[in-house]
Amino acid sequence: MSERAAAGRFAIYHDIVADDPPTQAVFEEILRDEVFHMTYTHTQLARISPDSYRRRLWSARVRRVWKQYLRVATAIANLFGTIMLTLQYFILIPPFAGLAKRALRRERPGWVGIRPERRDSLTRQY
Amino acid sequence: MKILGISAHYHDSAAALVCDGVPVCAVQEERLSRRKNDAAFPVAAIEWCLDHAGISPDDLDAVVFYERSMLKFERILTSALRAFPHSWRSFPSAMKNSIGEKVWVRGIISSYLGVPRGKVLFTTHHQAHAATAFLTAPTPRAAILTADGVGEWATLTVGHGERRTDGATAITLVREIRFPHSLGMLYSTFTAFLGFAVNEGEYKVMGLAAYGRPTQVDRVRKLIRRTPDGAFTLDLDYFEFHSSAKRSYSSRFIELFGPPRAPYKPIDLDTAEGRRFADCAASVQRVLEETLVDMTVALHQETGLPDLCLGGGVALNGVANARILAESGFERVFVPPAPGDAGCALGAALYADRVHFGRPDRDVPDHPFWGPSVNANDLLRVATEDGQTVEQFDDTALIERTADELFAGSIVGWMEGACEFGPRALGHRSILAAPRLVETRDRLNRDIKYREEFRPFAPVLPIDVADRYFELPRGGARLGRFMSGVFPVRPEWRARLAAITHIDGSARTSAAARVKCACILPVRIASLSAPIYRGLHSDSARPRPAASGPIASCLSRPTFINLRYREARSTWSILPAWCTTRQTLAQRSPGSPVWHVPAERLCSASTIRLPASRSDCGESWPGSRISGPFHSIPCFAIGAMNRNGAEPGCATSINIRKNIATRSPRCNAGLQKMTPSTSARIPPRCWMRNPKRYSLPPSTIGARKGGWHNCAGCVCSGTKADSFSR
Repeated sequence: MSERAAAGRFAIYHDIVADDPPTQAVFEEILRDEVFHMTYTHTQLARISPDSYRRRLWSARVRRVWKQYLRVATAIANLFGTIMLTLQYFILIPPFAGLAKRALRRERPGWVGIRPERRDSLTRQY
Repeated sequence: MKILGISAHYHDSAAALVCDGVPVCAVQEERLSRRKNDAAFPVAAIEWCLDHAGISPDDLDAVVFYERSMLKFERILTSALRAFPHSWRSFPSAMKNSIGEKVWVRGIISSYLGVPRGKVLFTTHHQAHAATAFLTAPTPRAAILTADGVGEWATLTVGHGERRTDGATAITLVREIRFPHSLGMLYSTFTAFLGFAVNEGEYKVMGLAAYGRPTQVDRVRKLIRRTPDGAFTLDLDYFEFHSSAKRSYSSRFIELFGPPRAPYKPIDLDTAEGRRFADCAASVQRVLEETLVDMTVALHQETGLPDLCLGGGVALNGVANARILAESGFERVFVPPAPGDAGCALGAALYADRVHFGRPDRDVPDHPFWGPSVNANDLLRVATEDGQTVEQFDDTALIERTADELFAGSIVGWMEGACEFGPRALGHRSILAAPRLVETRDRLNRDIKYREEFRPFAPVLPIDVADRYFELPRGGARLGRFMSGVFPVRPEWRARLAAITHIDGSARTSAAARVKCACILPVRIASLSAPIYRGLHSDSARPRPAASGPIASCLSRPTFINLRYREARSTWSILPAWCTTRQTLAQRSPGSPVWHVPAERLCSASTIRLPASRSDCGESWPGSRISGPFHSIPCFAIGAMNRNGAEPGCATSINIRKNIATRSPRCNAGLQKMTPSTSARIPPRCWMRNPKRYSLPPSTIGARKGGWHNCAGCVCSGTKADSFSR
């Protein structure tokens, strides 16, 4: 499956460099190589597992589809998360932002003493 | 008591195991995952540590994380609030990043290792830095200064540590400077401005600084102002790192210093722009040094202690460390081999052992070799399976032979024992080369490490002879032990140590006491050390290998010449033939990394086929024939490459037209050559599409005789290059 995907990409590269015949020739050779790998692997799979190689191929295809779905779903979830957080940023954050800025103005520049209780306990995450 | 320390989720994840108060092992995740600066939770590193010690997670008494994740989250959230509404772009990604994983560290550790949540402890980030610096240093009492980009809130802390006679240990951090006022962030901002990767390219800024003059110090001082109490603040109008994830400098910063450098754009020091960048680097370096020196002078006066322990990523700045040693008043300065975040794993575990559990202090072995070891038998088997020539030596013969090879101009890969913990190659995973010729440095930078030409290399030598070659101040040998100090090379040695002498006459000394390769120097010559991870791979972003597994993959790559390790030696090809052989490979194996060289375009004149026999594989004829306007460089495809596509035992000849040489020296890494020593180079129009991955023989004997030195890029496609082969 991987070789097939790679072959598809190299076919695209091959078309892109149509104005550069020497490079295109190199891509052609790579493409032939990928096709050889693909055929070879398929033949070996059929030889080793003659009864179930079709099922295994389909299983591999389904796994690839599932992974692609997960990638798409993650991207969509990421987009929704960004939208929700951005909305929260403008709706919920402003009052707290005002407080934080006021606290910032009160901060003295320079050294800040480290409180003993903060440095002593290793059990807390704060 | 068995304590596991972990650092993760920012950069340079690592794990370290401390058993009964003594470090047993420590390794960065990148050495196992092969991803540089790997920030992922260090599962592989933890597994290796536990395997190495022969224990299971149930046997652990505590797992210590190197920072307080909720405190860090508070800082991120507060920073976003303070920057409102300018932080609206970075806010969602920061929240997703933190809430998605980073704040749940206790649960992550508990679920990965199956340990009770109560066993998971947290130090603060700078406590871990301080513990790394102090608890690994052979001193009973010392002042401590830690400085980095940012931890939770602290960016710089000062304090002191003490080992009491009753065995109790105390590390007290007294005060701190808080985010966003940060020396590390100031330096990182200039790193980004100069076009280098933040958290990785800071040492490039340090190397570049030597080429510039600090003409912009006054401008840099506008960014960082000293406070009456001896601290500093950053003028945040010039920065955006606190409000944006995309850019760390603001428009005002650009108004002050000019346009930033685009990544991958060469730094040409012959141009005003190139000098501006070098001057910027020199200026920020100067300000950093002065600030640190001022603070350490005050710390010395405050504590009255003779020793200083430096921690945090800023402590990797060897130039500043040397100035601190010289000017602060401290007699000794200790910098651990891993002062950055990776080292925090070890520091956190040691801190928990000594301070939290109150266990008596124990001496920590004073070396950096805590990682996976090389198994000589594994290497021997791999090399034998690959049909490579293997010779075995005893230690004396190995050093003699290595010295001979170095003297003859070879570059030697050296693996010995356990992998270093920390970013530097300190003699167990190093590239060795003779330090005499500046061409050696250029060749290493250009053809093996694929990096900028201004990057220096470090000399590795025994401590007891270091003073002969370098002007070491009192305490300098100690500071130079882990390559943590930059010291002047003695004037009488600069010409003879040209490859390791930086443009300002300094060198980043690695004065090793227990490293075998350091013994090469008394044999014949001083040797030259450099991190190996860029040498063994065509992919320069990969970290150096830790153990025999990755080494096996290195062995199958045609990028190394004489690979040496403890007992096994593998000769791949004689040095002058190396790149020539790659050229041959390029012509014959379209699947190789240099497949895009269209041979047809390069073959524009006569080529010579030479008789070959199997026994000749791996060697080249010394010298070249000059035929009309061409240099003809004969070469062989060697055995290891034959399996990758080159014809077995094939001999060929590469002809290179002389007139494509120009006076425009450039290196593969895309930077203007900075020293005038190289005679002939290729103009930029002749570069390869991927110049980092390819070069013709840079120092082929015959080519050098004919006035050639670097043929990098002369076979690029789509240009007027006239070299050819086949």
